[in-house]
Amino acid sequence: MGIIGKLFKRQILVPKKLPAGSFVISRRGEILVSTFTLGVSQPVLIGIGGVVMRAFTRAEESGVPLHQLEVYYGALRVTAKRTRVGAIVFLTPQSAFEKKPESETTTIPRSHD
Amino acid sequence: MVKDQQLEILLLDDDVDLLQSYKQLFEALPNAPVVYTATNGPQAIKILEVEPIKVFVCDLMLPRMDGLQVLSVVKHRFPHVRTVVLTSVVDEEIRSRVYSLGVDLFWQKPSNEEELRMFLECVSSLLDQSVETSGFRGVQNKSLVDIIQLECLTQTTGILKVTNGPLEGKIWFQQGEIIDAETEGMFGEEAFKRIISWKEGAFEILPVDEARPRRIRKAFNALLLEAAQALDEKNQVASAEVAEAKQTARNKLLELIGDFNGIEFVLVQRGNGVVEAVGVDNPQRFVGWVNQVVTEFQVLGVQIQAGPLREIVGVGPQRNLGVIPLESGAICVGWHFNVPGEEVRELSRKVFARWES
Repeated sequence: MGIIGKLFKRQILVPKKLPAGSFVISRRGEILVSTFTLGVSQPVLIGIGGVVMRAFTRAEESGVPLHQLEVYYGALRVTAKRTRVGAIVFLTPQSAFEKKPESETTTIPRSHD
Repeated sequence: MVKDQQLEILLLDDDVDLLQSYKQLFEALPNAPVVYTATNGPQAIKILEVEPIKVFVCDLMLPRMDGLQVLSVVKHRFPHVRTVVLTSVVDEEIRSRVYSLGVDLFWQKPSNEEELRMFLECVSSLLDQSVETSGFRGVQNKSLVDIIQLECLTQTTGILKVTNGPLEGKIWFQQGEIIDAETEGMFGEEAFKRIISWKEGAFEILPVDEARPRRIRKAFNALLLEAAQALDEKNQVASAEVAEAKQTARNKLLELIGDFNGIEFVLVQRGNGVVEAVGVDNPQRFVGWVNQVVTEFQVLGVQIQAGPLREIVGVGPQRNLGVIPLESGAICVGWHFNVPGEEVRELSRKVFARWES
């Protein structure tokens, strides 16, 4: 098999998808409620929730209290709202092919407290 | 050929046979590039640190550090490198995620000679384009001055729309004469000088939609000469003493505060620890928070393969914050609490674009 032949073996692979949903994390870093399936591991959610809670806590310690955070990545938006028990976090995958309205707003349901 | 003039490609794939096959094919391209290979992410990044790679071709399915993670790191640390994904993965969401990282090309691994020929032509074209790393992308990479001169010399009647991130400017031409310009609430020559000071962006030519009153009366070559002189003076200031450069930065920050309604402060934190801030008495209390959130969210983004971190918006009872990571450091803009949270992101991006221009 020459160079060209070696190049043309193709495998169809199953891609990993970014999670979409929400969860509530306590101040101590425990996942209280989650809409994610078992396909999204708890350590991933705990990791995300941990970064979010530290951002809120450090902001308060710095004298700049925040009640909402929006984090924009190339392919994902993380929205977090501070609640009495900790925070509610929404994960929304972003697609380059999605049409977005000019002023996109995030509707966050009433807090769980 | 001198080494720094040679075009260099880096190939990353864990399939050694495939790697060697593509290496031979790329070395045979007309532009005769030097081809480096790597079988894992960390190895590829080490090569990028020492070699002036122009084009990086990367598989997605890799052991331990996968292709999306590698691309996130490469786009962040080596933004001048052109990137190509070459993968067996067939999924629109993955393609979308890859393009959202800012990758130049996404190719499914060729399955026949015709696809292979087209892929090699694309890579060869990207290598040729990579020689110019700045400038305005339209049909080809050109400087804005070249584009404007071309429109004037060809006696164009139309609108040259120029974008620089969230900033947008327009220049009106009438039979090759520049008659008006508009950007960021400015018109005429002032707007023209602002647009021409942008270092990079994209352009398109639009038809004239209605009669535009004439605000600019100078000939185009006089306008371009004045703009070039103004840019030269600006460059001379940048190479002045450190104190003078700091004052310029401070003036720029003051200008930004004056130009945007609702802005309370602007803080720029560089990777070398230097902080420039206007409008805030004790910038250090923000610096710690900015450093922490940018670093932690960037690391998180790589771990969950969410793409590069673009902005962070904080909404609070006293003020709202917009944070945008820089190549090294971050810019933090403080907004009055009555500036709506959904506007903070867009406004902060405009402040950042003005700062960078």
